Amino acid sequence: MKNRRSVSLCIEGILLLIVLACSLAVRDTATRPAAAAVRVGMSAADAAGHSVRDAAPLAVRESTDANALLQTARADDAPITFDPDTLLMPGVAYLWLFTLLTCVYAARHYVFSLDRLFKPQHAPYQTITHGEWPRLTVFVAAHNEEAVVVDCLMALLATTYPRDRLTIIPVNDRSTDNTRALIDEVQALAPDLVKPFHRESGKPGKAAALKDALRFIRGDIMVVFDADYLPRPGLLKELVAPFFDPEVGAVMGRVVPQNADSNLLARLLDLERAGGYQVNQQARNNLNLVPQYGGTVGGIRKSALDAVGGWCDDTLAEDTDMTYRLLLSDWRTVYLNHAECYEEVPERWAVRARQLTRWAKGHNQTLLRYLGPVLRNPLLSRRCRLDGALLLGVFLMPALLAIAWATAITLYLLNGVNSTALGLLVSLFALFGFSTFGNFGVFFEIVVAARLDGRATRLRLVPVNVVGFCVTIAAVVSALWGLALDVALRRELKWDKTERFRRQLKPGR
Amino acid sequence: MTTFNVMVPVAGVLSLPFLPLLHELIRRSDVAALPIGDGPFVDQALLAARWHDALRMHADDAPPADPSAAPPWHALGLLVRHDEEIRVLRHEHCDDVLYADRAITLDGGARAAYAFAEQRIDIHAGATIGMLAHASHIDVESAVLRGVVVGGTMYLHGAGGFVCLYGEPIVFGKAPELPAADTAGTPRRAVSLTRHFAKLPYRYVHGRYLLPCDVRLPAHTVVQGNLVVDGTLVLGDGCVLRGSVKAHRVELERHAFLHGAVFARDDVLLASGSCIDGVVSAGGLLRLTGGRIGAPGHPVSACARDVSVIGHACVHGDLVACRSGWFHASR
Repeated sequence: MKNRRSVSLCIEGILLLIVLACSLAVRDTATRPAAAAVRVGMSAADAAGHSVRDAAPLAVRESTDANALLQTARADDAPITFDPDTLLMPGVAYLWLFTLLTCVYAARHYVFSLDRLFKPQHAPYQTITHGEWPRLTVFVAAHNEEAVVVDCLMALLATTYPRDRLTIIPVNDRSTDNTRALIDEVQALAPDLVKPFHRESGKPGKAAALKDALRFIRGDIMVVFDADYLPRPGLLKELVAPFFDPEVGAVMGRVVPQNADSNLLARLLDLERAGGYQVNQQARNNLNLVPQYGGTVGGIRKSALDAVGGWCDDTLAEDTDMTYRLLLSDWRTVYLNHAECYEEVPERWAVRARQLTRWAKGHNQTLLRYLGPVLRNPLLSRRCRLDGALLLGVFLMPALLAIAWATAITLYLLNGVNSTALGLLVSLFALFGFSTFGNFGVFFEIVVAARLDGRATRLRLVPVNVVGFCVTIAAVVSALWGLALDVALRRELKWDKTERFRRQLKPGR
Repeated sequence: MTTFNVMVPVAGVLSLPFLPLLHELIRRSDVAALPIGDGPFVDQALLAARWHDALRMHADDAPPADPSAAPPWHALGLLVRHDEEIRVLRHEHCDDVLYADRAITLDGGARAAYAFAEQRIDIHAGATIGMLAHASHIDVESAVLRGVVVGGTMYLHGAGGFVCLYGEPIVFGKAPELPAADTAGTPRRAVSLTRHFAKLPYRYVHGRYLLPCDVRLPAHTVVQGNLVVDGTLVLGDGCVLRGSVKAHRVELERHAFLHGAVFARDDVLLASGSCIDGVVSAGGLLRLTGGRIGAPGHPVSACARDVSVIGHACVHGDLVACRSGWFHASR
């Protein structure tokens, strides 16, 4: 544990040094045009007042040919000339557009946070404890989950949901470890309740496995858990209660990291999850926007699922895909902040990066499919359309940010700052660039979530979340690149299973 | 030098947020997973029954089923007062757990935090239950019940208030004797909702009628379907709807019947003789003036921001008032 902490500290130190080095390098680059101007016999003031058109080629040539520094610049000297005007206008337009988008996202985060802080919260399903509970099927998706699957199933067996209306189906998807034997052991404890589905072949991925398992469903309501989740006894009733409402097609509960004490990454993810669920999801639910079905700790109405065409197995984010298909078919997804369930978060950055890459790939697939239909759908309210589109873009924004950085730095090096439009923009962009880098809106959400959870001391770690955002940017860029290659080369999507870190809670059972 | 003088305080201010961070990285605090416990979603009837079982075992000196689990009153530092019959005298306050083999009586102005009786609890005018009460039969006379009261059968008379009641049934006041003309009932005719909504801008999507306007279902009809109404839904006199509804406001006129759940963003109003036999959730007021919710053997939850009961009403299951619950029951 001590070693882990020292490694975390070392990583932090190295990252700070990298940031320092980058800022020094940028500063050196920024002072170069003035120095160059002095060397070619111009005053610094002249250089500064030089038009963009003249100054930029000079800067370009300086960087390519040192001898050309002392020569007068002539357009016909170089066989290949680079006119920065061609880059300037699209670059400036892109930066303005991105700044606008950043403002919209930041405003969205602040609206959500303020809603959670100051507006009355509605929980119409929270007090429903009695009723004609419908027949329920619980699917537990498991692929090589020998470390965790027993705990999940045992937790489900302790539920308060009426036993005569409950079926638990562990979906053992082509496991090569001891998962099958462990599931069978649990089945022996409650043969009437647990009906395992051992999937031996077929398309890989959770969506494909659930699609196959759907034929064993009993009743109209299904709830899905991943095998690393630990549902508490009352959770199933909490998740099923909203289905009494005829408008509801899907339900999503709150996910709470159970291994938050393991290391720095897990603690950062704990903060991120708190912001995402306690504030973001709940506020979207309060404001009648688009709460997201998360694929686990959630339920779906079978008739709604059938109406929208069942599980889609050609995407890596079947949950987001389902959210939008339900939205477009007039089914409402509700988020229940009180329906909390423990999960396990990644404890290593590499695992986290892979998880993010998979999410980003799947989410952006959904973006390509549904952005148009959502924006064009006249039956959705305007704010619902806007929020739906913004939600689709959350895994695109980090990549757009990376492009914006590259564009801004390029324009800066080409001395484009001298133009008034870009000069103004750079100031604004510097502000929002930083705010997006550590997105203040998201930070604010995390702060509000920690306050609502009554865990304010955790906020000391908020500045380190910047590291998390850097990883997100890298993962999203990688995911988009991978997605582009998949489309170009017509490659099949690869499901990447998240590594588990927990050992079985009670090995004896 | 000037730059240095400016930059040092700026850097100092900017580094302030990182000082607690450094402290946290060196010496961790508050690292445990967020405790989620049972959550706010508590089945009060189940909770009260568990307390009652634990008290029975405590009274019989029987060993608990799970030796590691302490009785619930231990965690709260409470003592148990056990007797054949317990009477809490006028204006007496009792914070211990009362457990009677037969009956508990709370005289006017008395207050008991926890009361459990094998047979009955009588709560007289001005008395109150602070936290939790459970008995096979509970009789309430003009009292404000501040805690959770769970009973097999529960009768409430006079005027008073409540927060959370559970009973199979909870009966407010006495049922009025209806004139013969009212009870005989006019014959009902079946109506197709598609035909009835022909002049309205409705959409039929996956088994639900979506209506962006106010809707009135005609009197003495039988209709079938789930309705999602962006306005007020009124079930006319004697109308029977088989299906669940969601609307801004739901009104059941006399002898209307709704076989399904009701979700209203605002009010749900039940007139005399009307009935809902499914879950009821109202974001505003739930007003019962002679209506019934739930059915014998099929308890349901009825919850609203405010609950008002006037005259006679009957609820099978739990009745929860999130902000205020009042009754003015007929004698």
